Amino acid sequence: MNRDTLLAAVGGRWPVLRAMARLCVEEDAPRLLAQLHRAAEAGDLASVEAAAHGLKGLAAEFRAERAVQAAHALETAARENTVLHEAIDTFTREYAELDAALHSLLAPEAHA
Amino acid sequence: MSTLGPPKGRILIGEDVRTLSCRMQDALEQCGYTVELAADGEEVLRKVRAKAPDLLILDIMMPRQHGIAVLKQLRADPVTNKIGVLMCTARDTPADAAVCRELGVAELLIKPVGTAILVAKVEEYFSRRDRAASALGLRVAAVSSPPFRQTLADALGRYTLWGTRGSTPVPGARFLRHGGNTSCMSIECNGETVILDAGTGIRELGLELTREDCRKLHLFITHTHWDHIQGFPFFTPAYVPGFDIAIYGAEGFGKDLRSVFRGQLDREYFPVQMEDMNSQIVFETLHENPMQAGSARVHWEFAQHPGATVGYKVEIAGRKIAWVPDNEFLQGYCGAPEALTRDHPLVVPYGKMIDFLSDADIVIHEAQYTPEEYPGKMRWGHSSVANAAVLMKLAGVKRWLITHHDPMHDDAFLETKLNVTRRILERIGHSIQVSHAYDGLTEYF
Repeated sequence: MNRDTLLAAVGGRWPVLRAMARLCVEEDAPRLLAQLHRAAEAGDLASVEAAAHGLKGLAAEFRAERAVQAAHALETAARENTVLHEAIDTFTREYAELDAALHSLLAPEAHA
Repeated sequence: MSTLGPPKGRILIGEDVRTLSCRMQDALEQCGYTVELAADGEEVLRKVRAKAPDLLILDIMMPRQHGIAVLKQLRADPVTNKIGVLMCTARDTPADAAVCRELGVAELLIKPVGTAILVAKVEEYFSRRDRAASALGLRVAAVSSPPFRQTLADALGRYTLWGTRGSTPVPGARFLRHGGNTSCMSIECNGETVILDAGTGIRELGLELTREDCRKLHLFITHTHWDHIQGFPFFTPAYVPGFDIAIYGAEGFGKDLRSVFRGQLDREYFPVQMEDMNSQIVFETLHENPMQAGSARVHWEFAQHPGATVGYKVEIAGRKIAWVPDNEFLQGYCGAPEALTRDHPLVVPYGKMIDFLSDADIVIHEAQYTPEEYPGKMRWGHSSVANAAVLMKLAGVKRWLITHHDPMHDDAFLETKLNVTRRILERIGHSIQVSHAYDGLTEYF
């Protein structure tokens, strides 16, 4: 995740980037991750696919390429009914990196 | 804040991921468009029918009705079948592209859609539409139709939570997500600013206000405990000539409002005094209810809290926003929440507050203690989660933002506590949108 690229994508508007980071870590990601794990436990592959799709879009928004790829693999695994848990583990690892990067954007000392 | 002046066109964004819609909304508003959001398929259908936007930007994979299903319904309805649509999706399949073409989608955008591309595609859509209208000798709808914000009911406003912590500010990494500033929120609409409480959150609001045009400020104080007034000495507009600040509060049992504010600026506590504040400051005791503050009608009601404490309900642009950060509903009650009804003897004394909240569009109210903590905190003036949930149910509240977080509750604890709150609401059978307020949260209405 390259902060300068992200900042350029929102016209250099630092408060907008921070608002996006906050929405991601506090609303969208917790909701989609909860949906993903609930659906995986219940064996509801359609819901897994939908959650992975949403997470892919979310990761893409922050240009987190590895998380995008992992979400895409998870989406495909759910659609093709192949082994899910490895794809979930991989995505979880990749998302943790994105989450840490977003939290650093939200730190009080972070600035444009 | 969005661009003022005549709107270029009205756009509805149907997108369930708020992170994405936030960026899209900001980019389009910067260009002069008026933007509304819808978070699921059903909300899109409802808002298209109610607001008749010029353009719909629609995600394909959406909860509560898939984007394609939504589009088919819009095309089947003679009232909505002409709406311009840009589809937006992370799922790039030939099948989707074919369906979109069949349904008259102007453009299929593949996520992530860069801001420049989004704006270019939207501008292109409106330009094409206007050229077509001119060629047919039609008046261009975006120019000839009434501006979106022409009436008070459609005016664009926003509220921001600047401080959501109770009792005392809390700095530190464990409190980052929710923030550590004490109570303050603002409501901005029609070029006016209503401020509720002056905890440490008001400092940051003050810095923002000095960069804006609004010079008339209405500051309503729920009560004069430290965490609701301690930010005022750091409120920059108070020192700036040209600002006109009216401060309102309930008649207390001891000192009046002016004395309390002046007192915390005594030389023993602070290097500058109220006499050094160069703005025009007036203090007013609450009498009329509701009272008028600019175009806002402000209702107030006494809350259960030590000292003279009130909650406010600000009615502006057709919205009612309630702010009750300190209120111990059902003081001393530790029993099961589902057992209580409106006519229960324990509930009856709180009828006024229930009625007060019953017509609010959004209620910002505390729920400071978990049911386990509450027995040790009775009569401190704050509700248990369970009792606050009962209040929301009895008042029929549909949207609840929980504020005044306990300084002992860090981010991890608060996340767990929110889950507890949701389970209690499920248990008492009250369907409600509930979330935790955090410092910096802004919502438009």
